[in-house]
Amino acid sequence: MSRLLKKHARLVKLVFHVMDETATAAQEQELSDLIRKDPEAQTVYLELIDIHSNLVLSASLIPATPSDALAQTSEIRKRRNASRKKPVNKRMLLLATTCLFLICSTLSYIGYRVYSKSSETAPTEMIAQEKAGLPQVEQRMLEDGSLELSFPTGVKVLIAPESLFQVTGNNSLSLTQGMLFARVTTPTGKGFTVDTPRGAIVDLGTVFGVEVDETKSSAVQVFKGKVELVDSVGDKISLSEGETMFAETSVNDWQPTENVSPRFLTAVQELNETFFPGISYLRSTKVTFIYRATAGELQNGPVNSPSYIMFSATSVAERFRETVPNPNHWNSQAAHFVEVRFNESTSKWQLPVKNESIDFTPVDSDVLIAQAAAHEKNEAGEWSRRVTLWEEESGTIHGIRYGDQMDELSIHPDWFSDKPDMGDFMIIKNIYYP
Amino acid sequence: MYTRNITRQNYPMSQTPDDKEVMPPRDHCPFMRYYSAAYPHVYRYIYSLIPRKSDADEVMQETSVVLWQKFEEFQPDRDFTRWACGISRLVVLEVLRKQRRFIVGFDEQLIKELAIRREERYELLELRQEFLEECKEQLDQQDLNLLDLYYNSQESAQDAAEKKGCTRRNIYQRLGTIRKLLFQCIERKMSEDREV
Repeated sequence: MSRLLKKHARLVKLVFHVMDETATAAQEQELSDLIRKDPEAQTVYLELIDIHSNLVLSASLIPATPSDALAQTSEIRKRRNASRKKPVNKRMLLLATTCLFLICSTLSYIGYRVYSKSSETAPTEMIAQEKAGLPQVEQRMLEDGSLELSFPTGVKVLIAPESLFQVTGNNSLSLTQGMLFARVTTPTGKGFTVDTPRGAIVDLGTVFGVEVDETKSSAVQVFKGKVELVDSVGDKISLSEGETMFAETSVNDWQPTENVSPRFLTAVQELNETFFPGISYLRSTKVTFIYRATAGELQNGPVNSPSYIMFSATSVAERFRETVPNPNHWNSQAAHFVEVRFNESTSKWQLPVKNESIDFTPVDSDVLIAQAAAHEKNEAGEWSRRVTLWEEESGTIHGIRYGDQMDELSIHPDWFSDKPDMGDFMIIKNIYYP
Repeated sequence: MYTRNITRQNYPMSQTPDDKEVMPPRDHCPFMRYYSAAYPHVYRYIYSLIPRKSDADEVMQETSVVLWQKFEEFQPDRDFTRWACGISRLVVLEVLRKQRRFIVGFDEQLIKELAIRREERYELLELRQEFLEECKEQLDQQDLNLLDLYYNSQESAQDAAEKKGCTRRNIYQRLGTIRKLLFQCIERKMSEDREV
């Protein structure tokens, strides 16, 4: 592993995101901050980008003449304009205007109540008082703390600090800057709408998060259920569980992305216990346990040989259903992570189950995310186990890919349910995208 | 500081005194000769300042037109590639001022910093490019196929994932790994070359 790549691991990750056009606005900003006024970081950036541009270039045609170049310029512009300016159907516009008028008229007769409570700063705060006939409250900047809003439709919204928002109806609000998380669990809450500078997000019964950065680029991630995104010209796109979309300032269209900002992920992690109870998607991916069933010299340890922690795209319960028919075996274990070993004498990968080891054949989507060394006694005379993560290294080990993790990951050996437990692993991760 | 003699064979647009003697009279033909040889260098230069393909393509085309218009001002005793890179930097800044931002945070100040850094490392980057070709040959067939699919066929990561029977994330991860392998291979070759 190159010293430079290791030293600038974060920079390398961000450069790859930019190369693949999967970087969020926040990641782009982070990249520019990292390379600004840092000659070494700039050199690494330039050398990586040069590899990429060479590869891009090897696939491009060099225009034969300047007039070809000019023609290409016009073509590029045409394509850009065509993709940005979608024709607006006049009938749809009329219908939308009529609907808007009807909604506004209806709302003027509806009294609505929005109660709020601050989870960190003020104990309870009412941000929207009863104002019959007035469907809107003024735009508000939440400086610090977080704020939970309960809409009369049953929708719960958590506003993050430093957010500029406005309640715009009895089932809608707008977010101009910052971050919010919405939980829609009632039939009346369906259709809950968050207006962002890049378009509306309409809930279809779900839990989702929205982030609008300082450049007004917007991102939405669905944790459960489905939402519908409406872009600036009224086109609708459906977004399902686990998916993320992003619309940047210069291009209004929503584009799929695999990333949300580190700030968003941190917020999700912090809110996991309070705001998303019972949502298995988050609960099972944020903190994952790998239970090692085999016993060593001591009860539940120590372990005498190294092993690996493997990610399986298919859930381990389903994948090993035939070899481990007892479904209860997988209770309280990670859905997609499992501890495995390689048997040098038989050259087979093995899954330790209770007191035996079961051979299994790896598949292409398997990834070894860490290596756990055998137990050793530390200076204090306690058994300890060293876990090596391969975030910045990659390759194959006996046919299984290893390393190259794109998300931050931490693994605690001999730890279970927030307390020491010999032989177990606890994986802490925000969201794992299989 | 590490330096290396750049041969004319490697860098056709880096002119030697011999070049001046054989320089053709100024007409359309020499422009195309210069332009074709400089194109990859200029494109890479632009890409390093605005690392997004659609933006780089657009600025490259704008630059091509400006080069054509300004070719009368080009002094034949100068290095055309460096001259063209200088012009492209101005085009990048002009587009940035007039139109919009490119990558978030890549403002005028940062673009200027990167331009200076790249100009300082121009010859080393050219050498690295040579090694890149050698390093590509060391990749295994599977990785070469992926590069071909992603770069040459311009398949999206999603399409590539469907063809390969894996996830889009797997494709991005593997591409990242390949880029790191290439980077490390180039570093190794640079180090060997330095020892020689």
